[in-house]
Amino acid sequence: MSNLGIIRCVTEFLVNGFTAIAQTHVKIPRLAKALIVLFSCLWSITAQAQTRTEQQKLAAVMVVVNSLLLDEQTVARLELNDFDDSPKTVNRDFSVYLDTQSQDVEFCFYLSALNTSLNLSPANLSVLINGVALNGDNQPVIGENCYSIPLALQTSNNIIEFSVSNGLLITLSALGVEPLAQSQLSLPSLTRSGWDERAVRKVLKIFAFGGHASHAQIQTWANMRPQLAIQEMLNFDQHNQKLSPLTPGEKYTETASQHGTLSEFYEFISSPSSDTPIPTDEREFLGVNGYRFSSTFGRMIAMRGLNPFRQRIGFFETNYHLAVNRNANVERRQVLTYYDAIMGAHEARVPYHEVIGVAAKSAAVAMQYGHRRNSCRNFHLDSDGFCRERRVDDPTACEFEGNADFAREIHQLFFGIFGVNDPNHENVTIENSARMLTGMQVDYIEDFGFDTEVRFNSCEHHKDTFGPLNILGQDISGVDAAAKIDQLMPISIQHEESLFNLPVYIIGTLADDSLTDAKRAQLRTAWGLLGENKDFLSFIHAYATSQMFHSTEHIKYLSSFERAYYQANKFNIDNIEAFLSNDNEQGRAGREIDDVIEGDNASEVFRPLHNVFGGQTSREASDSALAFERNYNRSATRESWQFNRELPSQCEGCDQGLPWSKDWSKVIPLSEGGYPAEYVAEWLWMHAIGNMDNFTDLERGQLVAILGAVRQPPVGEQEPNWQINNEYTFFDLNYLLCIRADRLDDGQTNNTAADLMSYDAWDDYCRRDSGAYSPTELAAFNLSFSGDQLANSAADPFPYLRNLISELAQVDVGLTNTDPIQRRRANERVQAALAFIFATPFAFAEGR
Amino acid sequence: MNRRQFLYSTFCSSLIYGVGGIPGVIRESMAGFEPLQEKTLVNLFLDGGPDIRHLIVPAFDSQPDSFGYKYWKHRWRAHDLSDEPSTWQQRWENDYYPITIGGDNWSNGLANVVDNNRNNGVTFGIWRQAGWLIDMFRAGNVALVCNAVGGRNRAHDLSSLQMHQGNLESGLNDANRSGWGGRLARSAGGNAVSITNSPLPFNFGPVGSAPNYNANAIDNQFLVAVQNSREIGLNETTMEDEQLYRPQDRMARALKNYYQAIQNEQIGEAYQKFRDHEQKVRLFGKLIRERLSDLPEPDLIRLLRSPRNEDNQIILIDGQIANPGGDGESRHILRNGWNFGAQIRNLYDVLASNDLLNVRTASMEYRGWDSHGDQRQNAANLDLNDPNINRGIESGFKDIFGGRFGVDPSDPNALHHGFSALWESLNTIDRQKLVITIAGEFGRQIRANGDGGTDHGQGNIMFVIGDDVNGGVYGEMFQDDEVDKYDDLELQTPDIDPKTDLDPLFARVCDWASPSSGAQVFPRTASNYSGEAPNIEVPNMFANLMT
Repeated sequence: MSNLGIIRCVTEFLVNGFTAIAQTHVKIPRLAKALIVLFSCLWSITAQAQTRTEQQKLAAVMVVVNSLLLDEQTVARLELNDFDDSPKTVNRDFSVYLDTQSQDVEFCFYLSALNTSLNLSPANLSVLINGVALNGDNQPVIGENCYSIPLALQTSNNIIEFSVSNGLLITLSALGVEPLAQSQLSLPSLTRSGWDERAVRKVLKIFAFGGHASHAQIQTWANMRPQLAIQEMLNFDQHNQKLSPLTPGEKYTETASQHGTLSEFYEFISSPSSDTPIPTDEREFLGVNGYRFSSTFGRMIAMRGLNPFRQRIGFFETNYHLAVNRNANVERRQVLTYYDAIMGAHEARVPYHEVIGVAAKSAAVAMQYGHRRNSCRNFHLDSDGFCRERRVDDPTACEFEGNADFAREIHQLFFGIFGVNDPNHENVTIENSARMLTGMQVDYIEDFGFDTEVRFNSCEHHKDTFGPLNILGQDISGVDAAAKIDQLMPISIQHEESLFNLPVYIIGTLADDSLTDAKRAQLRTAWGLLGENKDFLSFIHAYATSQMFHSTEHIKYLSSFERAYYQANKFNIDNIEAFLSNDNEQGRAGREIDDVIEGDNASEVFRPLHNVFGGQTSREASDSALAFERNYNRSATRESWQFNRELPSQCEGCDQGLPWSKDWSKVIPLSEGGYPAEYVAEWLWMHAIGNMDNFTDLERGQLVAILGAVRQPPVGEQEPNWQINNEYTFFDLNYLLCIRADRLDDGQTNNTAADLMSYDAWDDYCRRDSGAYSPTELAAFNLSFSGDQLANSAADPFPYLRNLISELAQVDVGLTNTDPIQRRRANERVQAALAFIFATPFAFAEGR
Repeated sequence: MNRRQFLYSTFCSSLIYGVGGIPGVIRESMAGFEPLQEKTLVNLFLDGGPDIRHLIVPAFDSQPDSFGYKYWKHRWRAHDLSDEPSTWQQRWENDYYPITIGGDNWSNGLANVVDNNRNNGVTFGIWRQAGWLIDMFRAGNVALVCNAVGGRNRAHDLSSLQMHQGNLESGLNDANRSGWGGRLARSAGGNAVSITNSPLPFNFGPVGSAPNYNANAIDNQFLVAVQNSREIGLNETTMEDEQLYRPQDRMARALKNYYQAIQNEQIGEAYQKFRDHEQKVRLFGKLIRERLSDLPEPDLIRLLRSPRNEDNQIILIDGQIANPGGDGESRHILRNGWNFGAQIRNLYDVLASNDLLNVRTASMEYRGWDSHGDQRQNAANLDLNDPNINRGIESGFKDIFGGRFGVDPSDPNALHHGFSALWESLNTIDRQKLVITIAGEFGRQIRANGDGGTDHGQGNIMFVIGDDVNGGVYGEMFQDDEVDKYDDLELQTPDIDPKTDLDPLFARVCDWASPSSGAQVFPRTASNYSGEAPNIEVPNMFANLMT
């Protein structure tokens, strides 16, 4: 840089505005992508222009030379939008070539050092872009590195040269170049520099109930182009092994390749012959006729091997957008068929109006709204199947009998068409829609119930001979209701009100509680660009990678359902927990789901709180003090047995009669061979919250206390059995202060973390020796402090507390301890730390 | 380690959209029912568009051109009758309590506010099982406001939003506006208390001290949510127990101290609601629990949702099982006891704690009124008090209005349902400080559809109930032009012509609850309002609605 004489400027990266800033090289260190160092000053352009000719000449020569002399081990050529993920080991020189582009571009690569003992420095790693060295803050770092190459600095053949020396061995991967300013469906998109682990986790939280992706997979996605990563993250396949892999060593693996539809999953989980840990005599409870019918859906979301994004959208469609309600005569099998038909249509990627058409023609909707009884009375289909004419006042017109409920809602709820400014909406469109919805019988089958499919009956249907049905200003005709619905759907989705309202509804319900008029306008434009055959998934992909979704202004509150499903996915490790999330005769394994939803008074899945208007909204959940209270009290429960129950970590006979115990080391990667408390605290926070915005001294202090205060057994003797059996032996910060205070009263001045956690300390001090805690102990218990005090106060006990927290931060949590008792306690501390995180404000919403 | 910035005062956070701190003045808690300090408005929202024309009907008339014939001719399906007029007459005579305006069963002093004496001599009936409503009407405590409208668009979500906000000009994208209950509470200098599962937009407060009608911002500083008054609160550490063996106490302490620590730190807008929930639930939970500690739930209210008291003993009224089933088994009262019964309990407890909560409005809801099909069900089942029988919208009417009250109830043996049980559990002084408003977002069409139900309409009857209400009929009870609408088959969606917007009606109630608040809560009623004035059937018709 210095040879171009460019002044270095530092500014905060603003997603919405950064493309407007004149830039030269932009570097985004992997660990702090939110900060971009901009090297930009107007006067430097002159200097650049003076050197560009020489650079271009050199580049042209180098292209020829390299193409003749160098092989792919030392050179790579990239076209725009290329993403080369093959690793390139570099111990000397490596060059990347790309042709000049007609726009500013962003070049990114992932850098890893094979000999990690060497620190990267200009002395052992030199990188030049078109001859400009990347020094100082621009020096590449381990991880993902992105640089913008403005058009003004491009040559006919751009060269990025890596030179490695002094024994350093690096690997370059994920090489890619893409336009610096991108959009999908006109929505400005993130590029790789703005797409990081936080962004990936946010997408997973909002669109996949968190998913089950491994830490490594999340890192991989974070280092890909967002447009490529999102294809892998969010698709409608029944199984998504990257989003929902089996945990290493998983015992219950069938869901990796089977049982991907809702109907199949109900069959699987309730079958006595399935390979599941659910006691055989309890499986029927989860089946289609079982009393835990709604509970099965939560298990499906938590089940590894399936596709939680598919379930996320299925939940949205069947409980919000195209909601049906079991309280409204919709039978269970009809719900399953409805769900699978809609998601089958999504999986087939048919245009969205056809997906809606599937719903409109379903038995579930016909039951819900009652138009299964709508008919033109002019004709009657008798029990022998003959269509017989009836005497009516006017045989040339349909003598309608039925209701206009779905006749209204097919427009309003399915498409967002209210009939604003349409004088014919009430008296023409809705009334004719009611006639369109005639002859949609749902037969009652003995010993089964109502059929899961509509029988379209042209006999009692509005015949075209009665005259065309003018709906939304168009004449709709067809032999039966199915034909007419099929004809209407593409008209509806292109209706101006639908274009105005439907995209806003989709994103507003799924993902954004902070929509503004400007955002709504952008969404409408994007939706419109999908044309007549709108691909729902493309819309979701464009939004999920958009600057709008990832902006600092975005807010999404979690409904009780979203929070319950998300927390279960963040709490559970393997499939036995998904199977056993309710109590059974052997115990319980995973995170409770049903009680969370029920406790919040959010009704249950397939019984939406607002009937056809959908389930509990995320705003309602956020405004519900009850939902907050219940969630909080789930962590700070009244009883010890409840505490254990909320955080199941072991079970004697859950695994088909065998014991099961939780092992967080399956999913938390080692850090330099161990699990320091601070590392685990940060990992858990990122795992559960998805970003580190609010992981401050306060959160760190509370969590490392829970994780790192590892009480030691007595020296040289067996720990008493009653203490061994004592579960959840973690300490909170104030408890540690109480031990210290009591020890100080006793003249014990050595109170390091190790001192406090020795058997003679934790077992003897801060106890209700004479039936009550002493005033000193109570003061320590009740000490309340601010983050500022914790960080800066010189008054006692804050300097001590800071030291204590630092010590605790380094303590190994013990997840790989060879002693099973210590290992169990380590897992319990991790669970307790998660319980703490789940009760913070940051567990209820996604925002900044 | 990053550090959050400190707020220079907690007040700052309260001004941010949708966020509230601790409202009002917190008083010491004492056990027992504290007499109502201030006038209080209770709003019951009937979600779904209730067919009040099923609850209050015209008298059957055998003359085919009469209103009373055409109504039944076009409504027999919705009443689950046959097309034989004799069944209509039987239904009228058996199931409706007849009142003739200015005549039979019409109490002296009842208001009849309408142009040209159009209501004179009109006979209407109130469904007999709505005994509390009948008795309260006859006592002069119920205003039936006819031809009123929440929203004219016939779309539930939009009309409901307009109804909650008290703003017929709101659009679907205006969800972030204040509610009229929130504005009233702010004007009255008190709090809006929500007793539903989740606060309705009715409760949302405006930004700033002077209610601003159209501001696209909400400040819920003065919103208190009491969703389960008998169990409200955050679990606390119990220092009477050995902490070493109590992980739940260790976690409770960690969380309590943590929340205390972040109270004065600046956190993202998305998370502020939850920090404030913690503060309010902890504080109000403690106060309410203390207040209710020796105030048992009245048996009549408990019975609404459970036949047993807190000690699991069967509740007896006058030594008898209140609602015995066929086998003598005791039964609860309400069809929707789990929800509406709990709301009545919450309301009672909130009123008992009114001084602590500084309550000025309370918000309730009853769902399930979107009766496109089978709006009367199980008519053949004669066990009228069986709470497990779904009777369509009649179950809802009975839950709300069923019962008896006063010295001359329509049925002295009827069971106390929702408001009846509440009224019976309050003393007369407290009742005088309450007013209840009941309305849905729109009415329904005047002709039944072919599915035993009614489709969306516009105008409807709204209720204002209370000791200080000048009861009677406001507006034309059965509009003349409806007679023609019934048989006009060109008219596909005949409904009750909406003539009175909610603004002037509820503004007057607001003025009663808090003097001069009406024009602040409903700016379209202000004398200096420059836009289009709200519709009202008879000018100034609500001037004497409240005493």
